[in-house]
Amino acid sequence: MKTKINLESIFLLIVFSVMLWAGCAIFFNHELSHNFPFGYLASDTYQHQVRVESIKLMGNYKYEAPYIVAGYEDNVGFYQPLLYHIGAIFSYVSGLETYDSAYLLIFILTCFASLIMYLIIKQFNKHIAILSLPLSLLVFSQAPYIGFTWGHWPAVSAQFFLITFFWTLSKINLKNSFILFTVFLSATILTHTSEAVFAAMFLFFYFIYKFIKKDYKVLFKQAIIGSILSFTICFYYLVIFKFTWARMQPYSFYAMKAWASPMFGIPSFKYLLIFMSIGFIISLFYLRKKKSTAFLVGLVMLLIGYSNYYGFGHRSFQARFFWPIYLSIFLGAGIYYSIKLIIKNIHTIHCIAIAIVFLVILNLSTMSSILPVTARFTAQGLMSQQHWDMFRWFQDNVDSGKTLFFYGDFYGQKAILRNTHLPPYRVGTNYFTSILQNKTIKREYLISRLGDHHGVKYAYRKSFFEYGYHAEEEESKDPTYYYSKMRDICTFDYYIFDKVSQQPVFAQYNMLIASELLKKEWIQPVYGNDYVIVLKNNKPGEDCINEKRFN
Amino acid sequence: MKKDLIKKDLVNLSYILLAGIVILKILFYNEDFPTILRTLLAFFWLFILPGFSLMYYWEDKLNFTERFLIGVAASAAIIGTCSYYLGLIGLDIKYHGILLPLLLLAIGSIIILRKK
Repeated sequence: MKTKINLESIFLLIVFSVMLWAGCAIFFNHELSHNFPFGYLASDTYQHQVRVESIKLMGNYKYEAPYIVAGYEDNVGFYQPLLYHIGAIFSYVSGLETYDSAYLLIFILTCFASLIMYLIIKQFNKHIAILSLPLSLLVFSQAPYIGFTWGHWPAVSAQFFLITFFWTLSKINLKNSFILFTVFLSATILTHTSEAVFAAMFLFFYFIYKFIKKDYKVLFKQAIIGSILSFTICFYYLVIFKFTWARMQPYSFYAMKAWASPMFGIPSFKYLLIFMSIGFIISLFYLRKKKSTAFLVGLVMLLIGYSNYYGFGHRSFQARFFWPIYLSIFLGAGIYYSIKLIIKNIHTIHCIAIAIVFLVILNLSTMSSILPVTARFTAQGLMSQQHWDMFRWFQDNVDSGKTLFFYGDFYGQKAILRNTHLPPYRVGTNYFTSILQNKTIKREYLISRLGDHHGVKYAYRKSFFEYGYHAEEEESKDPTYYYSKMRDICTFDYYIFDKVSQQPVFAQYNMLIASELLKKEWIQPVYGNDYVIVLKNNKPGEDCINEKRFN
Repeated sequence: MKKDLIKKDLVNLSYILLAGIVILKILFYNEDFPTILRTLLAFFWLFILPGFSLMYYWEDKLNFTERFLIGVAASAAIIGTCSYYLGLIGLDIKYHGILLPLLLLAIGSIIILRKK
């Protein structure tokens, strides 16, 4: 008996290690700490990175940091806070920078999510649980991997709590299980509210399932108590949610067939679908069996993954990031019952051996034509050491002022620019291109005032149940488009120019504008390196540049 | 019985800590050892020990693996939720990494002492 337990523990440790290796270690270049945000491939990753750092610096998340929300100082902290808080705390205790601590946590929680799903499946059959586990690796296959690298972090981490919530329901007969129900439902709400809706949907199906089995009384009682307590715990944030996200993105029924991001679908499982189809069919027969919650998880999350056809839009695609975990029972059951046709007495060691074979082949890129495989790569991401040095210079040396970014190859990923810790403005790339083609240097450019309103219009609190919206108020005063309009560059305090670009003509034009600005004695270079130069305007508002054409 | 269980659990946790050090050093071989050790200890302090101690409430129904894995989720959930609200009432987040695990460990200790 003791040997069996150890064997299982060792197997779980191996799976955890392989997942961390395939998902995180290679991607992070086998480093835990980096000199700059490493592996950040899109604006949304920076959105979270900056917010975690801002909470660490402010000490709380009552308000958004002004540099996140276009300079407003009274914007309520509107994003779901839990992930940011554990990211900041982990940074304090581990000594890692927030850009490393939060990112690492996402990967670790995902690895734990697969192990918790294992616990749910194990209640049905331990051998099937072992055979199911390797499929979880595919959360790090190409399409779901964007959940990490493109910054769907709250959705990913909320699904960790969602799986734990499923486990709680499977153990609802535990004494005072409403405690676990409350803890995990609250955490799901406070990490990414969409997943709380998925939790409610699953609870609904689970209740019907239990009702049919005439085993619903405990669930009903614990769920009622747990729901009331969760609502109470999350009430403060839910009020914010109501006046921000819920106001701007109300539910509306529409079918969304595609997403701008890479999509994970059933065909993505390729030839694994043979076993998964067998497992799926078997699940329909075994649903009536006791402790078959895992099958219900698979079926309901399959349904939720297709909710883009009935109104959940891109949230359904986010649920698919974790399909390799939710649907893993179908693979495990498919393999198990297929083998059972040949071998009557299957032992744990056999299942572990088969699972390890799957762990290996799901990592072999040579198998990618017939099987989905992990997308293992190392990526520095958008940031360079030189740009990070520039951002750090701002953080360490400048307390206030308006910053204007001219052209930079990655400046279109706007959340990066918040790393100056000053409200950023940016010259529009298309406009920049057009005046470059006209060979002109101008004083007014089409400039965007950048900030993360995420559709919530820079919401601020007038009283507990009354909100104002800066964007709407300013738009009512100024009918021209509020974010992007012609602005005078001479009103800015700092100018940031990239010296290098993948298209050298942009960098050359940047340098031309910089040299024209430097002809005024009150404009001085204050920071520079091989990639970037920062100029300071000591007389904002004064005529700072001679408009002209160049050859 | 209780002492035996706690002793056995502590041994298991020690094995996991040791395995964690080895695994992290292999996977993150470009990282220096002190950083690996501190990161792992921080994870243990924040996300393993508090939740694991709270899970003693159900020790008679859940095995070590269940208490360990669900304990991680419980730690993350409770520390994250409490940290949000403590921050709102004015306690700077820099203290949360010490205070919250201590508080949860204290509650866990009470659970252990009260369960006979």
